[in-house]
Amino acid sequence: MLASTLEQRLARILPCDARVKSAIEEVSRASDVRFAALSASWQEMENRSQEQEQIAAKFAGQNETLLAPWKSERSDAQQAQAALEEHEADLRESARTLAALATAARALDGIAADSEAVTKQSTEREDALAQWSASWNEVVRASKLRDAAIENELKTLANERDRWTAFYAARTARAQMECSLTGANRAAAPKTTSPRATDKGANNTGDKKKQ
Amino acid sequence: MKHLRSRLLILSAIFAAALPAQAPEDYKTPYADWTRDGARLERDAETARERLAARTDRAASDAARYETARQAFFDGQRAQLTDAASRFQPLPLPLETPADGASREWIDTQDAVLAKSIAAFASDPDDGIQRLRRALDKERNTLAAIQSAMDARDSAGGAVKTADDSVQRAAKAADEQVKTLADSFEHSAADAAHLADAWRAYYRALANGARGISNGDAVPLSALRPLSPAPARAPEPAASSPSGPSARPSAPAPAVRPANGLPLARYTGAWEYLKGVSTFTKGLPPTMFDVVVKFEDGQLTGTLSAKFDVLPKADPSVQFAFSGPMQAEREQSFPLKTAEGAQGKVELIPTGTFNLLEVRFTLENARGKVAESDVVLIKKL
Repeated sequence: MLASTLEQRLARILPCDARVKSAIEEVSRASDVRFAALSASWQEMENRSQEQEQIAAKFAGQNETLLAPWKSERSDAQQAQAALEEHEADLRESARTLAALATAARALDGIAADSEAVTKQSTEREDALAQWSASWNEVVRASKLRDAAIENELKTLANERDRWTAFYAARTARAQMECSLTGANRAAAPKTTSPRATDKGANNTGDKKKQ
Repeated sequence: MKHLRSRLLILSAIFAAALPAQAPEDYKTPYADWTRDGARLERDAETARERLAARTDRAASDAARYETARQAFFDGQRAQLTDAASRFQPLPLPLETPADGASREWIDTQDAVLAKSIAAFASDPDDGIQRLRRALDKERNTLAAIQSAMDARDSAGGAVKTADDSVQRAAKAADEQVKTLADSFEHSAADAAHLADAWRAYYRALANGARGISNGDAVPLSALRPLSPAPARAPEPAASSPSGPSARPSAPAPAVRPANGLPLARYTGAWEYLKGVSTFTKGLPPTMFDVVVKFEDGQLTGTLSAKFDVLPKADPSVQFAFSGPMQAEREQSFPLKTAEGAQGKVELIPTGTFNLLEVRFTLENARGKVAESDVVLIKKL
């Protein structure tokens, strides 16, 4: 808000008025505050991005940690499956002499089929885990690029802040020049009331200045 | 200090992200107990008679504990994977503020004003005016530098957006993999829970069989809950080509798989009513209940032939054929029409156990006929 009306404010103040300098300094400080807020916001994004990158890197390295209990479970399930098949064989043998066991034999067949399906799920999970590291490494790679892009954003932000600072310095220098010219004119020709620079409009834009 | 706190937060988040290894030790003890208590049960069933019941009770308890512990293991694995997936949310990138656009407009305007003044002062012989002109020129140069800096920042912002999109795509792919694994564990957990019930029912049938009772306790409905249709489920053999007890689910997968994810073999094949395994929950007790289901050209076709224990003069027989397209639901429902002209509906409902199928029918305007029935049939070998 201050920046948008700077030139309008300056147009209403005499060149050597102390309020010229304070008005420019005020807008310059507001500009610094704005850039500091933007910088803090991007810094927070950089922190979060780095956090995600490191988490992804951690996941990428978890392959073996995950796989160990899964392998153990799959191995146990396969052993249980083998034992189950022995029980089936035993029961079929018993059912030959005791027909009443046929019901149990059929139920056991159903269980064996379902158990085998669960065991196969375990095997398929192990196979799927082979892609785990690759997937998370891709996240790490992309996150590194994002970290670098955010870092560059912070640099360009700092550069833009410095350019605005340079502008306000130049604007202050111009105001001082206008003051010195006005003072010189006043000493040489006291009847001159306004500097030519002001007459030609360089300090009287009347626009909507925002920064 | 702020930087240090930020680093500590990152470290704590990474520490939290480390997936803790969950050893499957918890189910090893119940399994060892089960192996011990269940040893030789099937072999001794032939001769042990009444003595087997005490042993089957122990084995059933061990089996249930084992499957419950496995369920907990699967659930634990699923939980830690789900937690991992939740850690990648899109970053709330700072948005371009409207002031940035307004700044560009102002710079353009101010540049034009300065250029005009500089041009106007160009031929002025006054030294002071020339010094002012140089100051205006320098000011104008700073505005040009700001424009360049804003262009560079716009470009950098675009690069961040592009890089963030890449991260989101990669994270989504990793997330989908995590979810697939988590879903698989969820299905395994549900299947383990089901198997705990199935084992109890089996040991009960085994004890009855050892006593010489072939029509003892039926398999309880609690054991017949649907087995979860896991996406990674092992294919099961097509029942339309029964090939004996040795040909079990290791057979090739059927070419067609219903949209509900269940193998066709859960519906197709020859099914019969078998006392001791089958149950009926509605209508009169059947004395015979045969269903044959085939899958041809995207259609399920079947015949049902049943007899019931009815009062004298009533017709004990029900026979009809049915057909219709395979449906996405687990329960397959078809209209039916008997030879006598009665209409109704028949439903085929796979149970939790591979070789059991629930069949339910209702008939309307079927005088003297059995109007409804709901039975669990076993697949013929």
